Amino acid sequence: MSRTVRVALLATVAWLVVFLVVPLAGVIVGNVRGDDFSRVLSSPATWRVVWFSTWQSVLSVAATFAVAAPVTWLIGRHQFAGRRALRAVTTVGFLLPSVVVAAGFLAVLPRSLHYSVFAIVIAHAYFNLAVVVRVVGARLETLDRRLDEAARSLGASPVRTVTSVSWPLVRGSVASAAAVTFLYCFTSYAVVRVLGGPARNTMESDIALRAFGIGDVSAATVIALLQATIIVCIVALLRRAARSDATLLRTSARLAPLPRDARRLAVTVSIVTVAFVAAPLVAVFWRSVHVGDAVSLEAWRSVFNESLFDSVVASLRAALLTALLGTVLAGAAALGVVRLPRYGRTIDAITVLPLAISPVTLGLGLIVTFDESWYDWRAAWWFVAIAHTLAAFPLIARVLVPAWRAVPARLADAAAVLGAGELRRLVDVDLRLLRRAFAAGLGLAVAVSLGEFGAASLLSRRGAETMPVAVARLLERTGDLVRAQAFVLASLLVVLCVAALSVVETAVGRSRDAAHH
Amino acid sequence: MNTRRTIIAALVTALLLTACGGTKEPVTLTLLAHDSFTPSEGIFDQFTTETGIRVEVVRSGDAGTLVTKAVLSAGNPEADVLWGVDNTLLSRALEADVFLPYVSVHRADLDGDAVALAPDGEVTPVDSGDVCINYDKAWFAERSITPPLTLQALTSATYRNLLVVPNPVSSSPGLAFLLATIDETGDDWQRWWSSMRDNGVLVVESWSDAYYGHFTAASDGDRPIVVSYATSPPAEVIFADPRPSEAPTAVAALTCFRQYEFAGILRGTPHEDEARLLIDFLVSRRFQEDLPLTQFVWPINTKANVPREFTEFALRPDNPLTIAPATIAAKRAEWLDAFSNVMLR
Repeated sequence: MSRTVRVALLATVAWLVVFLVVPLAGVIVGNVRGDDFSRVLSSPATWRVVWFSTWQSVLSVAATFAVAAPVTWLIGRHQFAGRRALRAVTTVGFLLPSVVVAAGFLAVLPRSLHYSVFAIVIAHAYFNLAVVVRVVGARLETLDRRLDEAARSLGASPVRTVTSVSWPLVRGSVASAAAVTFLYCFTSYAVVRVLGGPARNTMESDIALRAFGIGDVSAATVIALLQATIIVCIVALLRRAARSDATLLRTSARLAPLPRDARRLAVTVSIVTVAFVAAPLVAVFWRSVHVGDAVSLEAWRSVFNESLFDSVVASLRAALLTALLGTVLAGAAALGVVRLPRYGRTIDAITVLPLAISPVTLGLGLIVTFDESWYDWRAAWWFVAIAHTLAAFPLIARVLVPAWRAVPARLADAAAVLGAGELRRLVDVDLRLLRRAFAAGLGLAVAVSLGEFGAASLLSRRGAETMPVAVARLLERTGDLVRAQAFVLASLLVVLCVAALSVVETAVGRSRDAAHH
Repeated sequence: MNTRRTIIAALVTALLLTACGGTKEPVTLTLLAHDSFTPSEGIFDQFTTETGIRVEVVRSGDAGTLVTKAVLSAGNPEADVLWGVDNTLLSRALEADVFLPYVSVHRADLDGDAVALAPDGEVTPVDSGDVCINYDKAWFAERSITPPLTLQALTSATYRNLLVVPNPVSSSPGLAFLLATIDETGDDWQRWWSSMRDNGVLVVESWSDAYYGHFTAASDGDRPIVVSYATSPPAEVIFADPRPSEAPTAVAALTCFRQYEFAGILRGTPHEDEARLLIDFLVSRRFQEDLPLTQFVWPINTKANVPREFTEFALRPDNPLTIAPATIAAKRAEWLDAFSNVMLR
């Protein structure tokens, strides 16, 4: 095991131990006794919640893939005008605070569908569209289309080409995307609460209700443990089912231009996807320019003049820190996964771990752990970024690991033969080739941080709150102007996320073009 | 070697000087509050001028979240003073020994009923409000239907599919309304709710879902009866442009449950003396008179002036429904469980 890899891995593990394992242990030790387990686990209410979490997630994953498949195929396999813009559009939903999207869907859906499983499932598809497009799409991009062509010219039918050539190469990323989507739906909170109505609860929303509504932290912690166990089992099963991708890849594969006969289909797919993403956003913008029933820009003016604007700064600050920390840590973990074949699978599994942990429970853990002397960080502005890093870390790792696996080891070997040291090889070979993946990781981290609500609302805020927290707070206040302000902040959030994304995408595009010249 | 010793000596001296000079350093108190704590900007300036103490407000989720966190960090608090534990949550905080008792110098001026809930000064009452049935006056006038005036009336077929309420498990006014029904109907409260269920009551997640998502007077919804505050009618007047001469909504006085909010000194604070001064300021006339129009609650200080909009449009029920905090603490979990079983399955 080389030194660089070892140091990188140790740093990541230390980080997870300090900010994940210790806080969780703190909550468990401080609140749970043996009879809490029997009390909670013997209650039929607990199992009703487990059952609902599970089946709505399965349905949500299916719906997500149904919505995402056409556009993922379009983006992952073809080059066409507006491709990058279309990909950015598909990511928007993932970035938005769930509270706002849920409000947008309430506005868009007919009343008969409010408080229904359909509303929950469609909103979950909206959020996770980006996961499929980004994870599976990034993988599709790296496939060499000449493989398909070779198969076809050897006489394979289109179906056979897909089942024998393409599918084995992408199924790992499909399983990855499905697993991440499942976990997000399984632990969904705000969407279920707002769109499902009070009678439908996932384990995560049940945890919050028990901890804050009823004040029974012990029961909440037991449910959080049960949730973590179920998630770990499901992830293990999924990973067993879908062994990692076959690796026969070229990293510089060019995308095919769109075939003439597929153009109409491509236009239809693009329009439907954009309309799906835009509908709730239009509702949000619409409300931001209405004070009461009258059209007015007063809310926009007031947000820029008042202290509310501080929350924009607070959100951006936390997002940048999250992106930096998260990418470094996930990069270190990904390095371990790729370079340590013996432990790779274990490390890979560990990178998913933070997704198994209930944010509410983790938030409580952080509060009871970092509460004394020099490490009393409870109200520090950057503490929220720590929580966001934990939320973003698994996702960045999911993007980096498959991309890194696709880097041919021979390149590094060649560099070594030419005398490049280990660090030099890492920077000059791997990181260069992985620029796109790292940029995608940064974008996702910014996204997660900007939209994250649960942990941010739980941690105390000295100074300004983040934008999603401000939105939720304003929505609970009286007055048309205040409500319009909430929708202004929500709209700004959309604008910021789109701006951040396009900066990342443009930068990647430029550096890539430069590399080819 | 000598240089290093000199540097260390200098550092130690500097540290000691800072430590000794601590009394001159102005104290900054941290006031931990729920997200609905929105006083006027600069409200603490006068306090700082008079006492030299600065106040920093830290917000931290809704009232339930605030109390759960305060309980978890009892004795080792995040702040010096906490604002916003109400009578439905009070016992939970008191049982966990979260506060240091203090009897404010303004105690004699404060609402006696509220003071009686924390007789030894464990916490100090700071404001009050009523959670009541609100209705859309125009909706009922257009149809010549009598608005519902009691909880019992709501079960009649006249009001089928007309009421929307926030979930008591997740919403503070929702819980207050559940307590109102328990106080009013006694052991029959579950039967009242099941007949309401048969009568088409809609339970939603939060107060804003109910009021701004379904209430006919404040949204494009179809429910003309909602659980809200007795101060919602003045809010409808104040926020309307142009201001109407009378409120578009009204309150059913017999359905009101009284909520009191309290502030307390958090046990473990290094600034107990300063925190006492802040408690006194929070119940002083200056601060109390800011409350109505910024947070739509009534001052707890009986000497405080109340704005005209309140006296004119807000209802102040004489005999609101209420339940002792100790009873609420003992039974809340059981009640919420029973409610979920009746309403949310």
